[in-house]
Amino acid sequence: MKKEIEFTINGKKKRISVNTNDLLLEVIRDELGLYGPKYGCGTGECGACTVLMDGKPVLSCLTLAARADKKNIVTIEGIGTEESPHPLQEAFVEEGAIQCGYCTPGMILSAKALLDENPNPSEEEIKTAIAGNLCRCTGYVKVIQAIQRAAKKIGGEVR
Amino acid sequence: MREFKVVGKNVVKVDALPLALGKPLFAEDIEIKDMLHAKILHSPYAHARIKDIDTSEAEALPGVHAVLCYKNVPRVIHTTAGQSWPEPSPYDMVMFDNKVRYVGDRVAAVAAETEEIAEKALSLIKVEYEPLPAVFDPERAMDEGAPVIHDEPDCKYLIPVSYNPKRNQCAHIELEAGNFEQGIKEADFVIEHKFKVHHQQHCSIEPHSCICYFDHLGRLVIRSSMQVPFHVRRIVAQCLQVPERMIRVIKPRIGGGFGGKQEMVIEDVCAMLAMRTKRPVKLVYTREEEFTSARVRHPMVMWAKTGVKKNGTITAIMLKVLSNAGAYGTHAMTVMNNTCAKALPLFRCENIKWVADAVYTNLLPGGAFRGYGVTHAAFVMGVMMDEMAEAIGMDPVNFWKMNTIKEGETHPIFRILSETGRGVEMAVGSCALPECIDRGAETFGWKDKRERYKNQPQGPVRYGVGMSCMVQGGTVPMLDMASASAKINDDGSFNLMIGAADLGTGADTVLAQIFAETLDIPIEDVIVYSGDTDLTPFDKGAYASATTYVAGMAVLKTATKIKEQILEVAADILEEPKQDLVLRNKGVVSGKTGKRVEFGEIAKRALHRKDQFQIAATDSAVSKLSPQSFAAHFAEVAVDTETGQVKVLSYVAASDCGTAVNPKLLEGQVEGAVLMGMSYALTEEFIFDENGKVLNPSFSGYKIFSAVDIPKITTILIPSYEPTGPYGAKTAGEVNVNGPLPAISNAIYNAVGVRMYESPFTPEKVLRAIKMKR
Amino acid sequence: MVDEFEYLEPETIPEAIDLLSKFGPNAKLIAGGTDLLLDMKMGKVKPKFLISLDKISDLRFIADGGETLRIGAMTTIAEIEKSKLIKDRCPLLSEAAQVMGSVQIRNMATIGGNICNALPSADLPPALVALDATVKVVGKNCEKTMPLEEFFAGVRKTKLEQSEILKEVQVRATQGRTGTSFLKLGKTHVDLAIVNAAARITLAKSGECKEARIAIGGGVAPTLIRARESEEMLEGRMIDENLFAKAAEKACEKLSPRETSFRASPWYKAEATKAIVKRALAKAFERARAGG
Repeated sequence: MKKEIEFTINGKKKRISVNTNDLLLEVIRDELGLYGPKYGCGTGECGACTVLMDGKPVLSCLTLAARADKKNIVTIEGIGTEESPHPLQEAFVEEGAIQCGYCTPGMILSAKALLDENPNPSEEEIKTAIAGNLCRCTGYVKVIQAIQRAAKKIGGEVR
Repeated sequence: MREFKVVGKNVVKVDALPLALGKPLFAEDIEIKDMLHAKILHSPYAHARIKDIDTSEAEALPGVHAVLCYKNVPRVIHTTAGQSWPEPSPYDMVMFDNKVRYVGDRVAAVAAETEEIAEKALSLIKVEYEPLPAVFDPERAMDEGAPVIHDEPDCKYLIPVSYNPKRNQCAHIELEAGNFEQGIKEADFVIEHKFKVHHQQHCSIEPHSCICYFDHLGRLVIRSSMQVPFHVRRIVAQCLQVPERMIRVIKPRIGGGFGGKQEMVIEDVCAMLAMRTKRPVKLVYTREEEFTSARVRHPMVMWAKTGVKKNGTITAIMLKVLSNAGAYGTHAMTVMNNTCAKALPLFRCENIKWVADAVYTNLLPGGAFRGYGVTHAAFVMGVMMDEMAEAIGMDPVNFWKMNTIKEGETHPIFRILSETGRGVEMAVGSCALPECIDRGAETFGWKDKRERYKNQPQGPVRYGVGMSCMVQGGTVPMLDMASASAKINDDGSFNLMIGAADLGTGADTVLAQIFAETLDIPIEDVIVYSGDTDLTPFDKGAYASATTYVAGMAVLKTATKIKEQILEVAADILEEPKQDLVLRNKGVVSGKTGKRVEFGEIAKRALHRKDQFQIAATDSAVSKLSPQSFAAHFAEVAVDTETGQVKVLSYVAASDCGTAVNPKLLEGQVEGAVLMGMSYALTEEFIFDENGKVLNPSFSGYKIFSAVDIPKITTILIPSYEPTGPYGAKTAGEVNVNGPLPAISNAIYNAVGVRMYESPFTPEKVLRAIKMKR
Repeated sequence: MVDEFEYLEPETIPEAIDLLSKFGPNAKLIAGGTDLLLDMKMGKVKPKFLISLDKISDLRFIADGGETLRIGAMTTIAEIEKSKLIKDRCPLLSEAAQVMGSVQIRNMATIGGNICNALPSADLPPALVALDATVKVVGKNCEKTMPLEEFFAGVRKTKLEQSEILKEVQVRATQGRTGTSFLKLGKTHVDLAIVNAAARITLAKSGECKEARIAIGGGVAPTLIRARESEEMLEGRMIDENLFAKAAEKACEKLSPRETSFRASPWYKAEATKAIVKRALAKAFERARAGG
């Protein structure tokens, strides 16, 4: 069964027809060609599919595409570019927080939502913000350091 | 301390920014026209014959293009293990068999227009099973009358291994050095225990993902998330019965491997479906399939007996190993082998007795897993060492220092045994373990904490500390080979083609650093391309902690050859004798006259202007030795005596790493390995029902640590210099996964006086142990 | 993969109820979807009609009712967690919301969904019951209110009829000499509860325990346990630590975990419950004394 939806993705307005039983993750990857959000488990436990919906991190593998109607969606592709990466993207690169990189898009988006709301988070707050993003490579140590560094960058303490 | 220009620096990972930007770099991140979707039908039985399969309804479903099963696929017996040929794993697997040997085993596969149609088709396949009795307990697998799991007449090893499948025996090895019985007689204390180490799943966040398509020449291209492109090419060719030259394997960015992708898990099925349908095919495992139908760390039962004198000398070590290979023997013999070959040489003890059996059971098959058998032995010996130290009243720190192998020393095991079966005589080329122990203990506050925790306040929570040392030999000596090719471009930059597989480990970056160091160029001038069987020379793949050491050496040798060519051309340009010239900052300078020419000019001269040739080279390296890295780990725990929960408060990992080519990347590897070992010790657990079915095949059932679960971790990299490695580098990261099991077990003992001999140390097990003690 | 269905987005409660009656058992309500979509992916439920409550703004609110707070069924767990009003006026609910799932789950899941899905391991219900929560249910021509405790009927079963919608939850604000505590025990931090417990203690001016509430959830019984006998052990007397252990032991008598659960054995669940309930009571007591 088809449904027309209209939403904003990475700043661009889009109007597409989806199947009612399509999941948002599938539509973002297969219809829109944005491969940042990933399939890691399909059951909402690993966070690799995380996207921002109206600024909040949600699991696109557990969201119907139809639910995106009238919403503002942001994926990793929408927060920075090669020429102008987001401070989080820079910090992740600088701190060695990226090993295989599969969890990275989801991880960065969760961190972005945190910093947008809480520019000076404690270590505990950072850990809680990314608790829904599993990483098997880094042990989270440098991920946390990267987010701390990004906070300083955004706050102007560090370049 | 040697200083280098690029090696030893925290160079940013070459693929870090693209990954941070979310670029489409992984296996599934491409769109191919007319691609079909594949799904696999798995067995609901632990052991059964397939009397018949009727795929007609499935084939008739609109949108289905192919259905495979034992009836229409040639029977080619093989191993899926990603190992050098001839593989040291039994040939006991067939793409589709008429027998299933574990719940989750392969029965059939479908390729269809959409995933939904493929799923529907699976449900239309009618299978007539004849269930057979099953055996799950490795201690029962070799009993008289136990069900024979591999009763096919053609299963075999290609190399001489003691193999008796009729008794479910997958491998048997023994080793004796010195005189164990005599050693026991001389001991003042004899300690003896039974240990159990459990299943672990790799839990790479990216599941096994494979896309097969055809190039313009009609050759099959396999784009897959795996660590061993060259082995996969060989084995797929074998299974499909097509020449290897008709297959190209490409390894894109991989979302984690940890050994779970040192294997051909799904590529054969995907490739066969592509061949049959003549269409591109995508096959991606679901997370559930990762738990039920991939590979796991071999669980083992181990018996240890050691003797120690009052003065601290270890007089004898006996280790008896029973490895549960699961339904298929992939990696079983070699993992088991390492419980001795790579683990026991840590100890200065001449009297060693080791007996090991790997047995088939009707559980999911074991495979390669970070640590590769050393993890199991490190747990056992880590606890035994702690008990021995306690028996003689010595601080474990001193006991470990006294009894671990030193730089320059050798060990009888080296001569006798290695993964290939043959030993390789060697001495320890580099070892900074004593410093690891000292610095680790100091940073951790070992003395203070031990003292402090002798007298604890009343309350349900008890605190304790524990330590352990470990070793991991890198490479399979005399076997592992890596190669590299490089060529210069007009502007003096280079393309570096390496067979090595970067699985997030940073191999591309580290190898580029070695190349850049050798030619004295900035790393930006090295464009790395890796893991493509058409375009990069052979590399055995990412395993056995060999990449930096062996591929690094191949890169160094290749760069050295190129250096010679550059100097030749430079000598001609500068009209100076070659022996006066040195490489400096992307150019060549005469030490005598100071005259200089840039690489760009040299390249243009060679490519375009005079005596034209392509400045390029290819070279290989073979690991002649298996240099070890060592580590000392310290854990501080809080044990809740009312709930049994064990919380790690702080953890120090001091890792002897040779020359850390990229210290930051290496720290990341150490931290990841420690956390992986930690959740393995405390929260990861497979639960099976009485019919061998996995009851918790999901991240909600099988728990790995998230960011809120981690303790404070301190990583100390202790440099040493491995003379046989590129710029002194050697294996460095893997060893650290071997620490948490013993360090935490010892810390729990220190806190509550109970020894955990069986992993994982779940709250329930810890609580039961505490209650039993009272 | 999820089977096909028609996706409907009513904008008012009556509209939603009409759709529910029209399509009967072939229809299901979808709130946050974190539980329902999982079930649909696994093929456990195959509704032909999915009625989304996402566009009904009347269901999303947190209102100050003086002695009580009213929370609309579609209010997300994140909204509850971040609400200053709830943190100030019934911190127990805040505490429970904080430990439920991950940030992403909390952004998606709703209080209505958490209640109506009726999983024994749900985190909000024990806290709500300890706050004497009532639920308002709206049907075709009726509206009824009942104590949340009575709303649960079994594993994944509530008293919600086919054409009814849970509209809002009402909880008692806790003030003055009332202390509360919510504790959860899982294998890791982000996990389904093996056991969770909510405790509320209100002290009289004289220092006696005026009122006690103990509610226990997790994998310990088909529906949450209101440990009334344990409460009676505390009410009307001066209380201390020793009593908490006894109250916790008493509460364990009501446990009836499945033998077959793979998370933990019945023996362990009982041990863990004893510890968690005792500690929740102790913490609530400490907070009650501090609050006076």
